[in-house]
Amino acid sequence: MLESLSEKDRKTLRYGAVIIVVYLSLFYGRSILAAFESSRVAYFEQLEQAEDLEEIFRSYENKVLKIEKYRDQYHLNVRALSNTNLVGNAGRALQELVKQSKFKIGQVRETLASGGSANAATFQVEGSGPLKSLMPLLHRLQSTGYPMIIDTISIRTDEKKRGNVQWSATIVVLDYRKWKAKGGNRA
Amino acid sequence: MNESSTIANPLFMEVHARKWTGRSSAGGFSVDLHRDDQGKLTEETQAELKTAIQEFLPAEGNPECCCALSGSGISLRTLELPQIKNTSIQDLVRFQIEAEWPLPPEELVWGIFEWAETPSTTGETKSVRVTVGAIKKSLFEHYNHLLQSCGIEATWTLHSYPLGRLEAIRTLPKAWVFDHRASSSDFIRFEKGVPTLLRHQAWNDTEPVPLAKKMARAIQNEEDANPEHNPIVVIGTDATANGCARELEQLLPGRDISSVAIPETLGTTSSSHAYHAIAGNMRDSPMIELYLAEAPIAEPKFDRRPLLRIAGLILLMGIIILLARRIEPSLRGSALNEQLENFKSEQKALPEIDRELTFLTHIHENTIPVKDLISLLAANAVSQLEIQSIEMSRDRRIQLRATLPQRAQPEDLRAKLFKTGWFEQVVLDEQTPDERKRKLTIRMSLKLHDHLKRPKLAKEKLGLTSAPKKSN
Repeated sequence: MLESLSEKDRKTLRYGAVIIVVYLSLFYGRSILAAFESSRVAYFEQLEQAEDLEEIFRSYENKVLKIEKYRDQYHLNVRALSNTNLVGNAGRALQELVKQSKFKIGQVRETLASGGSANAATFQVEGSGPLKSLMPLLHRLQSTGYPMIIDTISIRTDEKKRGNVQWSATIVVLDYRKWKAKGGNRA
Repeated sequence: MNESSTIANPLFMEVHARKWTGRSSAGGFSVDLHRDDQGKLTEETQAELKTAIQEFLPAEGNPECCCALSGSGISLRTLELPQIKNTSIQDLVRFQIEAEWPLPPEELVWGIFEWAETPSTTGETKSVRVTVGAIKKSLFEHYNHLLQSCGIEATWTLHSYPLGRLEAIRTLPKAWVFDHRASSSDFIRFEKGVPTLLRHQAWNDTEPVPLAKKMARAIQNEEDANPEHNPIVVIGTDATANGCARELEQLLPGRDISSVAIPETLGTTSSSHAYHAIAGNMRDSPMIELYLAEAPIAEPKFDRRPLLRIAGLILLMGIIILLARRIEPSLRGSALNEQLENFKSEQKALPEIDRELTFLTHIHENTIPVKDLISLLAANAVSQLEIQSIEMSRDRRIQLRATLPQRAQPEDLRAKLFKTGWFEQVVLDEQTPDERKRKLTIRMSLKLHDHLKRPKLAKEKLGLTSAPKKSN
């Protein structure tokens, strides 16, 4: 169809098209651009928000790695701990550990912590046994699978039986449920 | 070429201001012309002319026709043009017409007669001498259309050119010619039978005396500018031509003046002799031939299309980039929303991570390094050291009770322990010799550095890769 038009007609058509485009741009271009602009602004705000969050997540990668390291080191997964009877379970695990380490367990005292503290209870344990079993016991005390901290420990040679040691320890069991994030209670 | 071979029976037509004549070997015709305000022939005249031409045409064949134009609207000039390399004569003439003619080249139809080359005065470049004849294009098209409607494709020239074929003019090297017919005059200068200058004079006089005076004045004006005393030829009706010639002889004594009588109603080729003289010489020498479609000069036009295309492409890319930034939200908006929702839901888990980390860090920081301490003491123990008791607490305080064989050894032990970098304080609280003074019982208070300040133990160096041995 265009081939049948003369050069003058084509030129007229071209000018007409340009004028229409300019007219439409002048009268409707701004509103169309404004609509595009508002969605664009919202989009870029969201994009910025997403980038900020991504940055935060990236900063948490180290924290997660650290948590994994501590979990492995202390054989402790606080989220998997049963909410009920934490102190009882921890005490049982502690006594089992002492017995398994070939130590004769002595007096065991248990003190429940007051309400405000993140401590669940304090155990005072005494034991006696061969010196060579002391190091494994000390090692395993830190990886019982319960959140326990040795508050004090006293080791002395057994005067009566050479090669044996007597020890007594104060061990604090922490309650993760009572633990607050930064600035929270400390045991 | 000769007459018999090229022009067997040519048609010859003359178009004057008020008369259109035609002539062939078989006969001729003459039609009075009536024009409108624009100089074009009226409808009635056109109809009459067509009838006359069609009657005049031979029954068979397509005869060759030459049509000569005269009257107002025609100009003839001779120009000296410099020869320019790669530029044709036509182009040079076109430039000259643009510069000097009152009408632009697009509104004119012109033809040229090119003279032999003449060396320029400077001797550096050669110049070309051309005679240019031109007529208004609209008028020419009007005449041409008329002949085409009668089935004639004519060769067009100026009337002054066949006039120069007349014996009285052709034989003269240079001549001033007055062609006074049909109530108008053409004052023409000829060189070797070729017209070089044409001035149309609107002289309505029919009496020889005033007419001759005007002719004499015109010649004197021309000769004042260009002092040439050329022969003078007067063409007209019998009475006018002869009368004017006689008057001119008196006004311009001593000049070579002659006259050619041509009947008013018939054209230049009215007589059989004149017809053959003109027709026979028409193609023997170059003529000023008018062309309807002059080849337009290819002007060195700057081709803007590539630039326009590049500009258009840049504009298009700009628009695409502009739109892309605005369309991107529409294209990726939903995916981003989804991603953001995921992030927000994952963000809720972050405080729990913080909580767990601080909890585990608290355990880590508050764990007494019992194993490491015992290993450290064993590694730095002086000989025959016997540890009797050791007490450690979470506040990093350590109480050590041991026996040594000699008095000097406690200081060595303290120095060694301090050197490990693990202890902030190493205090020798008490040293008590036994009754026989063989052994020394010591009591030391130590305080550990914060766990961050303590150097890492090189267990390989200590030889404690497995369970450490306690000095007994």
